[in-house]
Amino acid sequence: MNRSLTYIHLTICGLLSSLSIHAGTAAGMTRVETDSPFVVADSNGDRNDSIPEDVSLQEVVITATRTPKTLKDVPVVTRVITAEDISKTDATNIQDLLTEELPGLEFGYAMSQETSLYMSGFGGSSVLFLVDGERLAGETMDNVDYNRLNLDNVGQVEIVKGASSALYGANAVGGVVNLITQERTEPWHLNINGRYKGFGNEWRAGGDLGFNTAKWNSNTTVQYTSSETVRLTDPFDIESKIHEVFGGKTFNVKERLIFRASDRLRFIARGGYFSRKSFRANYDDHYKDYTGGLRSIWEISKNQTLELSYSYDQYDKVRYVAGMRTHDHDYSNRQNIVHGLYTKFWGKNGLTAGADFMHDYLTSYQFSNNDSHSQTSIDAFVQFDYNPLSWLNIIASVRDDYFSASDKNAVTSRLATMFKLDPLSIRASYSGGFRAPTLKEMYMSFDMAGIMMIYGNPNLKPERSHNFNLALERNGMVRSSALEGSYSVTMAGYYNYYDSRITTEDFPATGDLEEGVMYVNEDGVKVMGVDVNARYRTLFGLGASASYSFLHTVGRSIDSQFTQPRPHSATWRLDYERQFCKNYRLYASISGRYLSKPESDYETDGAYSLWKFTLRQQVWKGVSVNFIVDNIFNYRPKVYYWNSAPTTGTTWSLGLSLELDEMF
Amino acid sequence: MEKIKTLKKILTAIVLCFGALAIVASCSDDEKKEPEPVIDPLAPPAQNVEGSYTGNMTCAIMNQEVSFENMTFKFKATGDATVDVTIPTFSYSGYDSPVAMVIPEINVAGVKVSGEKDTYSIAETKFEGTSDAGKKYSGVLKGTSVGGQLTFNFNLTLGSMPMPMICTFTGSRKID
Repeated sequence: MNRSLTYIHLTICGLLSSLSIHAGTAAGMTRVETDSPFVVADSNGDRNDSIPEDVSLQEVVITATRTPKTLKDVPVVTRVITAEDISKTDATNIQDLLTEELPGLEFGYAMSQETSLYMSGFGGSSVLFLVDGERLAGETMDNVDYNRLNLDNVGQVEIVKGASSALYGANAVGGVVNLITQERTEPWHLNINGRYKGFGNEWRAGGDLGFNTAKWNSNTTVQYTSSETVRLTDPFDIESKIHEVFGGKTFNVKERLIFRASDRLRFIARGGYFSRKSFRANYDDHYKDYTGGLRSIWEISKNQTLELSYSYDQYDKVRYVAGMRTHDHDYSNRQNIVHGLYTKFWGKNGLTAGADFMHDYLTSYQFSNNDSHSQTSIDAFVQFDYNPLSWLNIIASVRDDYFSASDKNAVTSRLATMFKLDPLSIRASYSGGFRAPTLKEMYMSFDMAGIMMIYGNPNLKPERSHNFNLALERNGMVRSSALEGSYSVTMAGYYNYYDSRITTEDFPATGDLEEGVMYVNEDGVKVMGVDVNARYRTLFGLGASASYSFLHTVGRSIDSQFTQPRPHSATWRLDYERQFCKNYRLYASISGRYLSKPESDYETDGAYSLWKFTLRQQVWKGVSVNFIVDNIFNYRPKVYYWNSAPTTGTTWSLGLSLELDEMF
Repeated sequence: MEKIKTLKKILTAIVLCFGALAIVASCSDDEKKEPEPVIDPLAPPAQNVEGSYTGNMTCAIMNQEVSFENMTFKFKATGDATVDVTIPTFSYSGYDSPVAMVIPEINVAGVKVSGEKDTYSIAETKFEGTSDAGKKYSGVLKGTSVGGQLTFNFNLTLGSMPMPMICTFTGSRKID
């Protein structure tokens, strides 16, 4: 067996070495360190074994505390998905990525085929999505337009489950997802990539251009996608809630420019344009977003930093019928946000203080007479990071938010502790969360296609959550065995008391108002669960990871026809990665996810699992080919509910990525 | 006397003729009221599908089912194996909505039919158009006709309906 593997290895590398020489590249004996921390090889493919540190724990994260900390030191459980992980999944946007990576999180469809999100007992409106720490305008069903959040040039995605309103304010009730753009250090960088996917004849093309000098750093990303409508089930199937997945097109361009005025002062300017067309049965919906911002980061001294930023985000929706804009579905949300953040450290202890101002404007066809409403929110917060002992870290924070539309304040706090008791790390925290009612929830008056009326409620109170979290983590190395390598195990238990949740309930006809549904507050939701993550990677490139999530809800938890709690969910991956020689690298994996049957009063989806095979090969310098077979066991739901997997069976995709700067 | 006998015969013949005429006339009236549908095995499929079908229909949006009685769907042969289908107008009021949704009359041309003897299939056909009120509609239809009994399904999205209405009609054929 070993002989045949060696033969294959030599054959492949011999062939590719020849190609390299013809291309004028010397295949020398220089030691090559790969991107993977676990695989070190020379150009002949001989391994230079060394015991690697588990660098995944050395990742610097920022979302949990708003200050940089290594993953192993951060006192709040944070899940990190790295750029390398992203490229292995070949995900187009954040929805694809999170679906594959996180158990306990589920995207589904809602009315008008907008996307709904359910995460650990919370609906999408209770999960805050950020890009480089900045909020996003616009909403589809219950959160931002996930298609905007493509993954080109994303350095890492950080997910903090549980409330984080003491640092991030409204919407951080159930968790925060922060996409962090990477800052490249090469003099120049150019990537061109494309992918074809069988499901919906989907095409994706994109690119990423960057340059870096002593003073300037620029990065431009462009992505285009197109897909056709896919029929999921028979058009006369009256049991299914969804019959087809509508096709569409997206175009996304982003620019970020960094100017380093001095060693201590730098400015970051960013701008972006996003366009999406969704091709529906009788009309096309067009979505556009314009975003821009400027941030200054001033290192006042070695221990003090001051950040000031302004950002603007405008998200528009319009409808076209037969190529003509109808003006009966016009929607525009515009946000102007100003931030200030000050950080000071004394030794290992730190103080973070900040304030934000946001003006939120919304005009919508869902308001009476296409009316508009706006509100201003102002907040201030402070956090103290205290490290009295080498094995103890305590972080305490408090924040006050004021909202003009409801003329209400919300005070939230967090206390997080971390005990490093070798070999275990123990994290325990309390955190408060809240979500202010949106302008739509307060002022909506909408006749939904003659099917029902939906009314807003100006008297809504903010949603509130109280989150208690206890996590155990153990990391280490296994030495002197055939499976020499590193491992990491995390087990986290949580309990959320969720109060005044904003939902809709039947509304009888009164006065001038017709019968329909109205937004109201609902009390008494309790959510508790356990998340377990385990990872193991050997020195010779074999890796395994699995995550399991248990969820239990009590009281009037979210149980709509669109989103329902699934008590058990899991993801797993078994992979093998190896640099065979300078020009050939292989990554192959079998991954999957399982979702149990939801607990619901509605007729709903059953349990299912989906399996995926990924083969990624770097076949020459900077040239990578991805081949993926999705749903390899050809699963098809008998009935397509809103939360069923939108699949028609086994499908495949083929992608090509060219890192042009690596070729020259 | 001979003349009287002749007169009796003539009167008897007249009475018998009127009686026979009355019987024939009454039989003719009955046939006009309930004509039997004619299935001609040698005729093209479209001719054996052509006609008006009257019966009941159920329509569902998100499992909210509403019934309609005495609906009439029309099929007109336009070739040996094609018919034009007319779906009648109706009003749908589900979810206790006070506002009824008016479905316009929809004509779908060139629908293919196939079959033989007394069993015919109406092919699954996509359609789209704009109502007189300017609303776009689109959908899919299909059906089967067995011995003049039609089962007809259509899936219809009108305007900006967020999901389709799925209807099933069953009715009996009448020749126009």
